[in-house]
Amino acid sequence: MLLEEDVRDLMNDATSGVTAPSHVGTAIASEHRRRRTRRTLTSLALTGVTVGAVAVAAYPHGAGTGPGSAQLDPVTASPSTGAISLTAAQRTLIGLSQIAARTEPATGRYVVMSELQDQAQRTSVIDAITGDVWTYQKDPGIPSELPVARHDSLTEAQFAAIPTDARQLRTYLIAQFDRDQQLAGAAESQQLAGTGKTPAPPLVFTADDKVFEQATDMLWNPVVGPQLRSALFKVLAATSDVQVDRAAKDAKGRPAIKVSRYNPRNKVTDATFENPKTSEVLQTTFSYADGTVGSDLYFSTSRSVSLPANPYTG
Amino acid sequence: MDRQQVKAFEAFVGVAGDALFRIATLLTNNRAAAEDLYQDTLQRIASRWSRVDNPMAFSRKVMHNLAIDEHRRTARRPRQEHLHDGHDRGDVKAGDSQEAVELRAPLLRALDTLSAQQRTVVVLRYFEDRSEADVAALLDISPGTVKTTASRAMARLRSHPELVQLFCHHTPTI
Repeated sequence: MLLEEDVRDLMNDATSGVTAPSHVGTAIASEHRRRRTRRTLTSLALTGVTVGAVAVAAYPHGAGTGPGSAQLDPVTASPSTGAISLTAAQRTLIGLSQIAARTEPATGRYVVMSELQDQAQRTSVIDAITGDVWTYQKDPGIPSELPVARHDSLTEAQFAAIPTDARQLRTYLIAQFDRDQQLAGAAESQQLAGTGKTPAPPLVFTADDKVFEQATDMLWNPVVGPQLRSALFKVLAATSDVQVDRAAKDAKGRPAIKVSRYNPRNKVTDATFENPKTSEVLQTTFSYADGTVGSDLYFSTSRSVSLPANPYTG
Repeated sequence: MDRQQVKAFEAFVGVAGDALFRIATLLTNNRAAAEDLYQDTLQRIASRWSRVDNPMAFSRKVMHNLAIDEHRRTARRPRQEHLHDGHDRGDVKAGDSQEAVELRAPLLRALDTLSAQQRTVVVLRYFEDRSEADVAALLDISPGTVKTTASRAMARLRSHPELVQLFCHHTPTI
């Protein structure tokens, strides 16, 4: 007689090799990535937003547009030049750039980061050679161990190939942002194909929007070498509307230099908190118009020659 | 979703996607329907990501309930729209053996003789190895209903000639 166990075996064997169509998850993820920015766009036109002008590094790009928009260039200027006066914000960023440049390059194939991602205590391990990322989570709830995200980070070699000349780096970051946007758009179009729907047009970001997002998205990654980190801070010093708070504290109460920028296109404020002594990133936050704040708080970062085991098991 | 949440969602799909798609395969009659069910399930999880404690449990609940809803909708349509390809094209990726493909078509035809609730109960109880209490909670029905639904479903499967024949000839892989 056909038993429950037989039905179980049949169902198992009949689906044993079935794999999910991977484009489905990818398309939904990229749709949500863009939906965030689109949703905020709709309310943008209705709300006038005033950004407090505290230590704004208002570096004008291209032709000077506003009054007093002298073509000062923190990229090439050093704080001691005297001929060009940098804003306090720019001086702070150039200072971080110099600290970063003096940092010893790290060795050890694996970067181990203990962090608090929103409310979840996690340990991320990045393989500097392959870019694979492991994520382990302490708190209960699935997934307690996320799978290896293959090539989720650039590798050390790829980071090393990025220009460290600040002007070239700026161009690179803008191109990188545009590529990401195109990929997200293509994935969405593919997902919507045949449904009769068309993707909403992407938000139009300014060059400085793109540069700030890309630069801060790179700074936290310890696989980035000292020269590139140094150049990233220089690029930030040459980006408009960047605010610098030298007396900030991160969520753990550690003294920090807070570097932030409000993007009126998607109404998101991205912030990164640096250790004033080492230039290391202590925390990154993303604050949305609806009041929610995403946060990544880094407790410790180390390098290891071998792949560490899940620290939360056994 | 913010960037971290999108990353966590992608990671979740990476770890749970195949298991969910296998369930979708057993709950539907053809590959296209399974893909639709899988996609609708992921859409719901993604849109509620920040409020979901346990994405795996939530996604199963969503998938089974969506399958029941879908069955109710399509039950009103003419029968010929009820396409059966039994996923017989197989999966393009390696790992989907010819044997599995051959088992699938008759198995899915047999499962399709069940009511939507019987089918989800069978998949939950025997494929996912859920307890009666678990199944009851997932489908918002009483444990007693789970028990009777499962036994009626088994009785019906036992009377399905194709499945019985399949069972007689099939040696399970250990």
